[in-house]
Parts: sequence; C-alpha cells; structure tokens
Amino acid sequence: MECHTTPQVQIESKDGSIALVGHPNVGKSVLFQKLTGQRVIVANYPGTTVEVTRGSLRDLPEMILVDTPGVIAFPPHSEDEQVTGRVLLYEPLRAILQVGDAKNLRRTLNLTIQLAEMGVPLVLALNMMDEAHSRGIQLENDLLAEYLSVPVIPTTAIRSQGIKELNSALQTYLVPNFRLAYPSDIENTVAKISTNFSGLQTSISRRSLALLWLSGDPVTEKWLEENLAGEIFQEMRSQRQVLQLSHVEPLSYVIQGARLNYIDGLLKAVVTDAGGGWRGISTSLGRWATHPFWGWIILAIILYGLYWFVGIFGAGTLVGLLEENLFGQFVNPWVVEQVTHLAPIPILVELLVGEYGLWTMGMTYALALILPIVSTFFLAFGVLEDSGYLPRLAALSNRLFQRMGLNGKAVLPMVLGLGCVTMATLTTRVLESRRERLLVILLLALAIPCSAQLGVVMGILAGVSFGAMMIWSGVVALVLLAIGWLAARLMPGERTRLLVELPPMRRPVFSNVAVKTLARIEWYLKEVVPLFLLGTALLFALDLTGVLDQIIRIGEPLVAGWLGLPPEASAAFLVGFLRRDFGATGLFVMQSEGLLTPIQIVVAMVTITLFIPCLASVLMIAKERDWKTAAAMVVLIMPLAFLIGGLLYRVLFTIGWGL
Amino acid sequence: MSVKDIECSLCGYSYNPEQHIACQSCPVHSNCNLVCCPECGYQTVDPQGSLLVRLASFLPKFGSPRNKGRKNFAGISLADIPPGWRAELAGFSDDFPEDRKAYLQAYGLVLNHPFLVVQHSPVTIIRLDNIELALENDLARGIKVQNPVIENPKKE
Repeated sequence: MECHTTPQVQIESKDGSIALVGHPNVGKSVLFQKLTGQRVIVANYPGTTVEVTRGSLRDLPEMILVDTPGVIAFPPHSEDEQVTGRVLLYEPLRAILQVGDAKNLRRTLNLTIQLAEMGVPLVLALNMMDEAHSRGIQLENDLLAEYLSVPVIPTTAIRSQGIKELNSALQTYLVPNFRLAYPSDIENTVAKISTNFSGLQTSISRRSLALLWLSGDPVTEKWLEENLAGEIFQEMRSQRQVLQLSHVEPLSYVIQGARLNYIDGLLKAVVTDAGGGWRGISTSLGRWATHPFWGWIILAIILYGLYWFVGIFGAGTLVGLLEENLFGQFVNPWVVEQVTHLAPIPILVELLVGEYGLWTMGMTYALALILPIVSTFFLAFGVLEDSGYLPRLAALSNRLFQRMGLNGKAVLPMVLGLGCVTMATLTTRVLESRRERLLVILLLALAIPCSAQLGVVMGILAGVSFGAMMIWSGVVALVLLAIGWLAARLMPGERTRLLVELPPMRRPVFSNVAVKTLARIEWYLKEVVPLFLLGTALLFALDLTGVLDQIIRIGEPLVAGWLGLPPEASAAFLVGFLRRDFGATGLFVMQSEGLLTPIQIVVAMVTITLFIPCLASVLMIAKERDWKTAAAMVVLIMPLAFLIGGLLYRVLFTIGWGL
Repeated sequence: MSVKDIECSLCGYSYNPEQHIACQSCPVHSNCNLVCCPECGYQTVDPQGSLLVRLASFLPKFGSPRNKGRKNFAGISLADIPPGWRAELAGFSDDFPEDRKAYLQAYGLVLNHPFLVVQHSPVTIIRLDNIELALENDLARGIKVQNPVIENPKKE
C-alpha cells in the first residue's frame, strides 16, 4: 500500500458549512433528516436530491449541513453530480461528512480517498451497517480510521443508530493527513501545477485541485479558468496534454487505478466477508423484477395495483366520500349559509360561493377532488420508491426507451411525472446528456399525466368502459412513442448507454413512506391551491364581464367544430392553461352532469392529457433550460394536442365507437 | 472512431466534424454545414448538421453492413459469458465510451477484478462485490473478459 498518513491536525472551528457527500442511494438524505430534523424527500433510487438542501444540526444549531446530490466519483458526469462538485469548490467548508455504504466499502473508499485529499476535515459515516452484517461482512472500523486518518463512525441511519457518535465526531475538525503516491510523472506534474494555485480562494487543497484538473473535472476546469490568468491556464493545458501522451489510458483512469490498487490492499486488512449475501426473498424478487418475461408480469400487477388504489379507491371511493358526502352535504351548504349571512353583498357571495366561487369551485376542486387522488398516488409511489423497484424498471424498460433515443434511466423522471410533472422536470438532472434531458422534458410536458389528472381521467373513463380506458391509454402511449422516436431522430447527438446500479430490494419503512407522502402533499397543495384559486377568480371575472361567453363562442369552432365537444368545454380548456388537472376536473363535472357522450369523454380526456401540464411546469422548464425552450414546447404541444384530439374524434365517429 | 466522425473521401482520414468547421471567418457561411479535412483540406458537408439527413436516418439502410451489436475485438466479451459464470475484466474495446468506462471503474470494475454474470436479457446484469449493475448489451459487448469459470453449476 503506497501511502502515508501523519498524525491528524486539530484545527480551530471556523465559519463555513458541513457538506454531506456520498454515492447515490447510501442514505444521505435519511442522515440529513436525522441530523437536522428537516424533512427531505428520500427514496431507494438515485437522484432523489436534485437540489442542495441546507439545515442546521439539531444538536449543534450553529452548524449548517448541506445535503448534496449523490456522486459516483470525481470527475462528475451528470448535472446533479456537478452540483456536488460545485459545493465542494465554491462553498466555504468547515468539514465534509461522507456517507458511505458499509457493504460496498471498495467504492466507498474510492470517494473517501478523493475527499481526504481535499484537505478539509473529514468524517466518514459507514451507513447501512445492518445490511453489511446481514451479508456476513465484518469491518475493522478503528483500523480503517487509522489507515485513512479519518474518524469512521458506523451508522444505520434509518434506525437512528450512530447519530450521537456522528454528532460528536463532527465537532473534532480533524484534517486528514492522508497522501497517496501516484505514478512519478503524475506526481511531478501535480507539483508543478500546484504552484499556480497559491492565493486561490477555495476550501480544498492545491494537490486535490491539481489531481481534479488532471482528471479533466469540468467543474474544476471552469473554476480555474475563471480564477487564473489566461496564459497560466493555457500552460496548464499543455502540461496536461504532454502528460497524457505518456499514458495509453486517460489520466483520470490512471489516477483512479492508483487509488483502487491502494484500496484493494486496504480491504484485505479491514474487511472480513463471510459471503452471506445474495440470498433470500429480496434477491429473488430483484431477479424476477428484471426477468425478460416475469418482469413484465410483475409490472402489469404493479400497474393494476396502482390503478385500483389510485383510480378506483382514490378517485372513486375517497372522492365520493369527500365530494358528495362531506363537501356536498355538510361543508359547502354550511359555508354558503355563513357567507350569505355574514357578507350579504351579491357579488361577494357569487365570488366566494357562486358557480365560479373561490370556495365552491377552487377549494372544493383542490381539497375534495384532487387531494384524495394525489395522496393515494404519492403513498403508492413512496412504497415503490423505497422498495428499490424503480432502477429495475429502468433496466426492464431500457429497450423501449432506446427506440426514443433514450435509455431506461429516463423511466425515473417519467414515473415521477405521474406524480407531478413539475417535480419530475427537476429530476431530469439525473440524466447524463443535455439532449436526453431535453427529450424527457418534452415527453413529460406532452404525454405524461400527473397523478391528479390521472386520477380524474381514470375516474371518468372507469365510468364509461374498459374500452374507453384502452383507447385513451393507447392513443397517449402512441403519441409518446411517436414523438419520442421522431424527436430523437431530429435532435442531434448520441444516446447514452444504460449503466445503472440496482440497489437491494427492501421492505419499505412505514415512517419514511409516511413522512415523504406528507411532505409531497404539502408541496403539492402549496402549488395547487393558489393556482386553483387564480383559475377560479379568472373564470369568475370572465363570466362577470361576459368575456367567458365570447371565449366560448370564439373557441366553438375548435372545441365544438373540430373536437366535437359541447361549447361549454372551452372553459375547461381555458383553465387547463393554468393546470390541466383543473381543466380535467371541469370536464369531470360536465360528465357527472350528463353533458358528455362516451365519444366526447374519450376525445376530451386525450386532448387534455396532451395539453401543457400546468403553469408551474412551464416555469420549471424555463428555469431548468431557458425561456426559448419553454416557449417552443408550448407552441409545439398546444396545436398537437388539438390535432390529435380532432383526428381521434373523426376516427371514433367513422368507426361508430360509443355512438 | 465515433459515430459522428467523418471519413475524408479524398485521403481517408477520420475526424470529428465539430472541430473542423470550414470557413469560420466567412460571413456568408456563418451557419453552413461545410467541414474541412484537417489532413488534406478537402471540403465536404457534415451529415449530422443536416435536418434532412437526420430525418432520413430512420429509413432502411439497404446494402449497409449489418455489424450492429457485434464486438470489434478478438477474444471473449462480457456478452459471451453465460449467466451464472464468473469472469475477470481484461479491458475495453477501443470505441468503448470513456464516461461509461470511468463509471465502471468508480464502481470498482478494474483489470483482473472478478464479477458474476447474472443475466443478459433484457439487459446485462453483473454482481461486483456487493453491488449489482445493469448495463446495456452494447456495453457488455465492448467489455473484454478473461478466466471465465462457472460459479455454481447446479444452482445457476
């Protein structure tokens, strides 16, 4: 083992935050939750943390902990990994807390070495100790700490084990004096390059900066370009090119190779593996989930379960109980009576509890119709996330996504999009190329209905026939595949090949699922209620001024003539601009009043599904990409939705379906 | 050679069209698709820059060699190892994507390191220490392996 460690140096407490760093899916967010008491969405798949979350430590309120997206190693490859690189480089740091997977020490230590080289006080939390033990893995933590000159704390974050010890370790500020010897030519270039970095303002060491630069780290490259004089930067480039000429493999590979050689030696000293892994029901389940035949059967069962829980139970039973019984019989009559009694001004009564009333329409839609649907979806989705099924779905569906110029990893934002398209747009950062992110954002905006809308659509179509459900899902899937296939061919660039880690299948922990379901519901309501109220107020104003009638008249050729719907459906499409589930709910109400025929229901549902998802998602697209992209998507999607809807109406009418 | 590279019709040199755009200083050709061979200067059109070419890319490619998915090196690839067998990494094909190579290395897949092949369909799944990795069959065909041995003849 070629390295040396010298006694650790205790430094004074200084300003700056603690960066929480680690591989994807090793429990960083759970640990963040335990250390700070704050809730962040955690899941058993990579990419849960797509934005940096901050919180002060529960036991040490003066310390700020920064939760970063998972990173495999440096240099980072995807956008979310680069976020972590930027935190380490730009943020004033008082310490780094690495969360590592105890049962996968080899790759954990690969990152530990890189972090130890940064010269910032480091603490290593070896998490998932329970899983390591159940697989017969025994670790010599003290010996490992001695070799790396880093405090090593065994934890099982999900059961709050090791949290107290971690809090104590975070107060010690021990700078690891770990130094691994790389091949001599690399060492010489590192020494030469490091001389350029004196006076640069960053928390990480000059040696580490030089190694990152030689590895071609894009974040470091950009930062150095901003902070160094042009001629020095160019000279460093030439030095790197010269060094590369003496190696067949890329420099990053040579540097990593030296680290892994050292780790192999270290593992022999600190790990005893009795080889008890890969047995039991969870391993078998994991294999069935990716089986070329049984995998699809399992997916069909899951989808049916989801349909039953969200579509039948959520959108049927729960909505019935809330809307018809609770709101219809008790809450709304009481509110109407109170408003009429307390504020007997006709226009105010109309605004609050009239046909387009803020309470009778806006709040009733949000609380009685949408809330039960999204709650059931988020609960079911939370179970799926924590089970470890989603990465297996990525593997299973890879071939399908290949046809759309993507890889199976795209299924993660797509499935999350079934919960909330806005949330999912943010998650596209887990995809590795700009082209893939753009393609998925387009498909999400076009043809992935969010849970609220999906529930309403399922609720309506379940009341028509199973055939109606098949036509709707068939047309939406066909549009998704056709547009994905076409866009992939028109968009320049190559597809990234699938390479994804399959975490172990686990039994979801109820408290974790419950916590994130509640957090998602809160997030959702904060987003949905203001927009529902805004939409209702808009409709009220338009109705009051008579503009609504004019819009309905203007929209008649499109809505009635082209789509074959009653002219009143224009109002639903109008509010669909704000949120398409709001629009779908308007159509749901029309259907329950008997204003729509089966053929009209199917056409309306297809059109509203292919509509722009909501104002918030358009804003998110603009934030994640730019306004030009967001505007281009709106311009593409709107006419396409009406075109497909109108064509479907003609096809169904011609074949005589639903007449 | 990357899929995007152009082979010069005059001298046969392969180059990346993005790095050799022709007439960069010419105001008339600011957005044209012309590229110049860095070896002989022969000017041609970059097919990847053409919308029509990209549209036509889904048409059947009659007469083109059917080499898709075949390994381009001698020896055994990961795709040749049956499920239930163990093997060691021996290297990568020349056109193996660098970022994927770096990812595999970060997960601990380095030369001579053993792993178990779990399945090949719909994707290849390998067990490396205590991690399971799923990778596309195309990637599996670009991974050179050595010393294959059966892990458990009865069970697997």
